[in-house]
Amino acid sequence: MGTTRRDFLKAAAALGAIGASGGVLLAQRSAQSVQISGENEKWISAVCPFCASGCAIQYCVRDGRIVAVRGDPEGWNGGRTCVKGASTVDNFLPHSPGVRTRVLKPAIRLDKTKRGTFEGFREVTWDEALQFIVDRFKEYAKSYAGDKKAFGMYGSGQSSNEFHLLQSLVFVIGLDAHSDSNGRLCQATKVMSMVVALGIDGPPMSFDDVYETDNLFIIGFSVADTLPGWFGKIVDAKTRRGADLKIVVIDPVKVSATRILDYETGDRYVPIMPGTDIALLNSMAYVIIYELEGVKEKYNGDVDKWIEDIKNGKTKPRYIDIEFIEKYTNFYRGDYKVLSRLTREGPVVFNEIFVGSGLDGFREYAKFISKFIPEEVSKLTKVEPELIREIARIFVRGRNTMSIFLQGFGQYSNGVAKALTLFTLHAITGRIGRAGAGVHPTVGQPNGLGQRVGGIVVGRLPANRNHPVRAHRLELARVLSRGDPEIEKLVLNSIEKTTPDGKIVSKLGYTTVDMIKAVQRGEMKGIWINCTNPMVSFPNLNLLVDALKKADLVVVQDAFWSETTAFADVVLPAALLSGESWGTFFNTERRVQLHQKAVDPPGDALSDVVILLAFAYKYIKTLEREGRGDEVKLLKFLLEPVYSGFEHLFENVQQNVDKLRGEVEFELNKRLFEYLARISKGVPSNDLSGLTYERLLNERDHKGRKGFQIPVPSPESKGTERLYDENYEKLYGRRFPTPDGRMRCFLWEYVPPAEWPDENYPFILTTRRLYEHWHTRSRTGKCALPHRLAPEPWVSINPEDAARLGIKDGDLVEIESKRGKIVLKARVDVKTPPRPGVLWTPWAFGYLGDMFRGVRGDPPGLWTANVVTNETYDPLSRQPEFKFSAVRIRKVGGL
Amino acid sequence: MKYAMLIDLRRCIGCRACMAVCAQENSALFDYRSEDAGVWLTKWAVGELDNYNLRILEVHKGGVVQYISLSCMHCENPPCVAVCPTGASYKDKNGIVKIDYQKCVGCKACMAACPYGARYVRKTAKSYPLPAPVGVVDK
Repeated sequence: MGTTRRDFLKAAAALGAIGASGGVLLAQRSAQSVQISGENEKWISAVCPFCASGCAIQYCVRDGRIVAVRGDPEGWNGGRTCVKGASTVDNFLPHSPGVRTRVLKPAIRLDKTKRGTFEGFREVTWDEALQFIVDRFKEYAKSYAGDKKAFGMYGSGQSSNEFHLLQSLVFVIGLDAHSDSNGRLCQATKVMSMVVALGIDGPPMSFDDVYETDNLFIIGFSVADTLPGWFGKIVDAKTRRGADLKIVVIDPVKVSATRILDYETGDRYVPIMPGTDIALLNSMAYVIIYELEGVKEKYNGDVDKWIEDIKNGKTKPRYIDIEFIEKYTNFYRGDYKVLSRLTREGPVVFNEIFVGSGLDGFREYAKFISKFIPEEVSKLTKVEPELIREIARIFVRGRNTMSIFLQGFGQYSNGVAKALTLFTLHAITGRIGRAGAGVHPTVGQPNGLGQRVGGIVVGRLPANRNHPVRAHRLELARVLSRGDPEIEKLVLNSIEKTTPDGKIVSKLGYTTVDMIKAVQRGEMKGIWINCTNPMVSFPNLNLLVDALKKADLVVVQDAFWSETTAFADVVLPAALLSGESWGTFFNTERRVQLHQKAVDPPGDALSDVVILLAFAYKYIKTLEREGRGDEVKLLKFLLEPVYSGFEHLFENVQQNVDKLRGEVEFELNKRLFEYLARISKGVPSNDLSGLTYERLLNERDHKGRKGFQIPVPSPESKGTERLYDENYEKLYGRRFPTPDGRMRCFLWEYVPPAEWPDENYPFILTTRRLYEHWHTRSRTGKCALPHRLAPEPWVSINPEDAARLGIKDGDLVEIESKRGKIVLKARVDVKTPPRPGVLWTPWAFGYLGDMFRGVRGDPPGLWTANVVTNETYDPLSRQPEFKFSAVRIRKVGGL
Repeated sequence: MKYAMLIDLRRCIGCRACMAVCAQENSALFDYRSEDAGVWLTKWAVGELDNYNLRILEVHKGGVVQYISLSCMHCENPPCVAVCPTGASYKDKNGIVKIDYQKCVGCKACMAACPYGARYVRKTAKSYPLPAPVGVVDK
């Protein structure tokens, strides 16, 4: 009763030591077991470096080395981890591949013909490497690529909030250069859908909402594989609540989460045709309005009459929430042409597509939806009409429905349209804005939200302000300039501009795909890639290979010799964040948690924050020396409060490596966090002004857990569990942070993906994350258990298709799209099969292949999924269409 | 007092995190604290070592996947104890099945007898002050 596993083991060991005949040895063994919490081992709290669940973990440190890892019982995860988190210790074991592949010293390679190999690097000092970059960037600063200077940073959602703020201050604002991050490949669509629908970027719900909801819709989201931490809660909720919690999984692949469905009590799996969700969701709205509310039968489809009767109180809808619609919604026509101008021109573009407010808008919506009859929609979505009706009934069952989605929406060229259609469905049925009701756009990356709060992605500004909203830009300039009008002007000059016809618009850098294309064209000269491995994760990899070979300067800052480092001219050795640095992470329920440093990094590696500050310091000094002080005036103003007192250390970084890892690193991070907290004051949904490192270290939230869910607007606040509910309205005076406090709902026609199968490319290839590996495997590929569970890539085929094509398990097949081809082993998949006509392959495997055996290929890799994927992006979010490539499949060898 | 191990299989999703943390806690696959831990890690990763502290059995039945974790179940009548020729495997008064490493001669009879595959030969003897080179059949 109440005995934990650890107690059990300890008791077993202790009893053994006293009672057994082999006493001495058992005592020694038990001593070893107990030593884990003993004097020469200590546990340091951090956050798991992998997915956006953000499980709190602890590293066990012995003799300055990490020897074990476990879940932190005080975290929201209650001590649980998944196999990836639990295996991270493998990356720290002496002589392991994780240790052997670390970048230990800065390196420069002058021979550009060697790009794509690991040859020709020369180890240099930190100061030589940083000065090398400074000397080139200062020349690139004389020309422009688009609206911004001809260089920039391609960052990552795996870095800390402190680093993200710094990246934004240095590149976006201080140097007026480019900055975007791999979040563009991962969450841009979710961000834009929240910004458009709700008014600002802030995921509205909490993990615990799965305990409160009646119906959980999991759409295009392999939650069991991607966010196992959160899935643990979903399993717990389902086990406790059984048929009271209905689950619907909509996905072209029968993802692992379907394992917990109970079909007998009404859970449903919907094997949708990829890319057709808009039609399906609109059809669900059709069923609810025309069939369940009886508009078809009782009103003969006359929406005007129905709305009139509602207004006169003659009828009261059962499922449509008239009160919510009237009070909190505006309706707009879905139009990518207009919306694609949003980021530059601002919310004024909404006027062009406005349909109506409240019930007036809803009336047009209801008329618009009349054509999405299940029988018609079924032809496109390949979902049986009865199944559409069934899930529509589930959607309005009970009081609360919660929808979660991920890359099944995100990585599509029609992703924002899908997400907005879903938000609209929740709004019209009033299933939003209370515990257990709403849409929670999830991210995959561990600090996905942090890169938006830091302001490193195009469209977001520090503290997650809306770049397109002029009031947000002015407010940012005001808080950053600390009362200096000249600085205020300089800040504004970096983030907005006046067009020839006198309009003031956002000044934006290139988003990821456009950035790489600008590098390919030679327009953008220098690119600094930090903490990300695009040579595995970028769509259409042949394009990236060409771009990086043509670039004038490629800097890669990473902890490991990754696939991308082979294309670098300068490689900078970074410390890992989790385990080797200080810093904070946001998880996907807006929880900010602190990484405490457990051990020093190997070699001369330094933490990201220290590296970028050292660069910025040297950049300022160099330009001042050359009489170009004006160009760095703003940068100096922004960064001086951060590094003041430590300038002497940056004068000679190499000599001060040890000092820059100790107290100094802690102090720099603490100052950056305070900076972020200060400038976030008052920003809706993103206010962390009530937080400090001390609070994160010593206090717990209202549920007694580590970390706090933002907004945390005051030192007394214990965090905010949910956004856009009644409490939010009390706090901010508006239900939604839009100008009129109303949510934006949309009438979206079906928008097809960029490609569609034809006779030459008859199959659809979709890519997926694996449970066993995190992203590009730069760490999990070197962890023993994940490696043994998933050592190599494959392509999953539906058994029907396999039989028709004569493909057997283990056959080698070639997958070819218009962009390239790959060769993989076929898996006739019965466990997580794709629907007929669809193939899926994991995208985690780059050309470095088997990192335990050292079996590798040539870049970009024979088996690397992203060789075939499509870089075409959503016109609004600019997130590429990884999840839909028209391909052909051919057997090239086998049994 | 009598201990028993309970696992609610309705909640098991086959995530295998238990394998990873148990391996570290008990240095089961190899000694995580040794100077050559990474060498043993590699041997285990590529399959040169095949010892498991516990395994997850994956059962496919009617299109449904079920997972069953196979660790030592501390059986009521443990077959490993019954076959052990030296008494190295024994059950203590609290119902826990244990190993007296001094008595183990590495005969592997327990491995053959255990229906859950919970016993394995430990090759990384460095973890324990063991009477090498006999080896030990651990669990």
